[in-house]
Amino acid sequence: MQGEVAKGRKSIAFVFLGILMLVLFVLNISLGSVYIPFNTVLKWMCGLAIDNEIWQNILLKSRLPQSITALLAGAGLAAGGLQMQTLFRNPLAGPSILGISSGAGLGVAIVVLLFGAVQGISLSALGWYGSLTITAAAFIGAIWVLFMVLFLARKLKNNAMLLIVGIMVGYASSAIVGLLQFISSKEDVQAFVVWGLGSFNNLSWDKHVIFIPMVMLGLLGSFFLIKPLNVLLLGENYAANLGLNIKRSRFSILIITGLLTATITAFCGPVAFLGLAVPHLSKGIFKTADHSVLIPAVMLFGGALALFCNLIARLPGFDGTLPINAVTSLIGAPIVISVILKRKNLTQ
Amino acid sequence: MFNFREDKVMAILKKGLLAFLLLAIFACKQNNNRTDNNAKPDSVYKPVYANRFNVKYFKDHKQIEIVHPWDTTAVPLVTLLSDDPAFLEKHPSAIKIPVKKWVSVTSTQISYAHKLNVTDKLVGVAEPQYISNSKVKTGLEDGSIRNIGTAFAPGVELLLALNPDMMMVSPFKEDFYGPLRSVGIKMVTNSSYLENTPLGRVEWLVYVAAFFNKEQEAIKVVNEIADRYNAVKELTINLKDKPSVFTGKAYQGVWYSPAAESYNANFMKDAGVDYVFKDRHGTGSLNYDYETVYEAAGHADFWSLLVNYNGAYNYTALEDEDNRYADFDAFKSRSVIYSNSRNSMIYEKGLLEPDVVLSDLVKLFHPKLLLNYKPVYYHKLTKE
Repeated sequence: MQGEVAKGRKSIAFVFLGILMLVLFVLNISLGSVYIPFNTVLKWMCGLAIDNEIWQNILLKSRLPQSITALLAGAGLAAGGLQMQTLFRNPLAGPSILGISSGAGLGVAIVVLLFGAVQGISLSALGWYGSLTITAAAFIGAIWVLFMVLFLARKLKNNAMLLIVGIMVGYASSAIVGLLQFISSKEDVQAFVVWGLGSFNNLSWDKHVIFIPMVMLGLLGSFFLIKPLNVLLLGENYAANLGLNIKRSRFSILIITGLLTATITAFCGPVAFLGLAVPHLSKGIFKTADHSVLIPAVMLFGGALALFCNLIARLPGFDGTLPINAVTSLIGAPIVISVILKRKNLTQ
Repeated sequence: MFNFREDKVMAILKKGLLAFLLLAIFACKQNNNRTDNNAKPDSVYKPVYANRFNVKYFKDHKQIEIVHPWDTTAVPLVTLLSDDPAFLEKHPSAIKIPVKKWVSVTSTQISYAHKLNVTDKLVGVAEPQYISNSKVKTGLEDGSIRNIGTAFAPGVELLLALNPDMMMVSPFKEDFYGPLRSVGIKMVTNSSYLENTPLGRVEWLVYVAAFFNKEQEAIKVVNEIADRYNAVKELTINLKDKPSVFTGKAYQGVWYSPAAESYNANFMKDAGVDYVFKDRHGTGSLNYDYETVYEAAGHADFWSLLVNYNGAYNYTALEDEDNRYADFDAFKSRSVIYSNSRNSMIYEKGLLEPDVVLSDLVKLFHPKLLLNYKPVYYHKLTKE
């Protein structure tokens, strides 16, 4: 009986999240610094032709790709964050805390700044190939840090120590980035700093050709990890006793998480806090640790929250766009603080 | 017990006395810079185009006043220049002119120095990688000019060893030069880049010239440039059809455009075009997102670009950066004009040749004007 009530509650929550996400998606397409009448937007969404070429291009080539970026980035970061929190058995695990974003940043810095300083090539001038190079660099940097944290995780049984190691790896990466900035030209440093502010609105369709398949692959892959993630909750020894191949599970979780966070960080910059905050919010709503519920839940919630942050970042009536990191951090920081206040002992 | 207290009182009194003395010394030092404020200058150079400096001439010295870089209502920065030994002895902070040894921290200052033929007086420069002047490069190679490091963190010891008569710096919001000032390096501020008009920036040549007693020469150069500039500007004044123009590109989602009263917007105004953001007032830059610029400029006639591109810039390269650029009418009609700062030298030479830059723009925006003129800095983008 109680189980059925809980099940009903979950279904309602899922429907609610789904509708919320849809509404936010439509709002993201309808609202922006340029005013387009809602009727026109609706007409366009129904596939009817609108006679204003400028509006049509803004909707199709600016707002739609941006909304898709926010949706996928939010879903991907949240799924990655959840998996990391389960794998490391640490409520504060997430791309920015474990140094993965710093690793991606280091990769981008090496490419942007070193190429600039040594080869005299400005990557922004390379266009499509340039952005592909940046993505690859961020990916390699993120995976490298992820593997290092994983390697250390085997030596360090204490999660708090692992967290400190992650932060130290982050500091070391930042220090190298600082050195690179010191020897680089102003233009290259500017390019790197702007990348670090994070943004959902610099992905046009030609970049989406890479972004969408890679994130979709990561999101779909996450569903195959539900079982191992649930078993890992019991602890690694238990999991091994239950016949789970720990090594292989760990590896696949890391590859999927790495794929998601690295791709998103590479294209959107290090977007803070979404990956950390959304799993906690979802656990609060669904009151479960079952990943078959949590994985789709965090994706919906992450997408909705990212769309919401993106909406705030381009407040209607305001011509510019705020750095997305400023918005996600302002929303994410109170959530993280509340988690710390609720869990009195982080090492458990 | 009582004695102890008396000691304490004495100590406080002593401290007070010391503080008072320090204050008095400080006040005197401050006064040193201002003793002559009340005296009437023999003559004053008030710039015609620039707004941020003036030079007052007295019997035994010159006094340069610069508007405070960040607060125009604040007390102006005053520099005293003199060749009179008695005056210099009385005012230790004054700079002995003509300057024989100086240090420059930006490449724009070197452009002024080149025009005045005083690069041979340079003993140090910052960030030599941005300097293209051949004389300065030779000086750096043979060691007569030293690299003092970055503009915001120059090497104190090297500067002490060079012992320049003055060091010309750009205004930074943060004062990086406290340590240098405290060891006695005399600093002067060149805020030419804060001027919003092309001729205003040129007129800072007179400011630089004051340190080398070359004002007359500088004023002549400024007037010649201004005459040529205004002559080109005259050409467009009565035009009825002004083409619409927008500038720049989106960078990581932010499209920077010059505000209506800024340096680059003034160039466009004087070139007789209808700048799409001409009613967005300000002297800095506007940060808009793609859709705002696209709505304002989607149907504009021309697209003016300043790029830093290795090789010959072309439409494919522009479209590769963001394929939405191809939606602009100016792109479709192949009406993009550009200056590639990698080889056009627009920042170094263009600064003191605004008449040439303006001629380029007029020629490119109004094909019927300046028929036989060949552009120097800006070109029409023709390569696919």
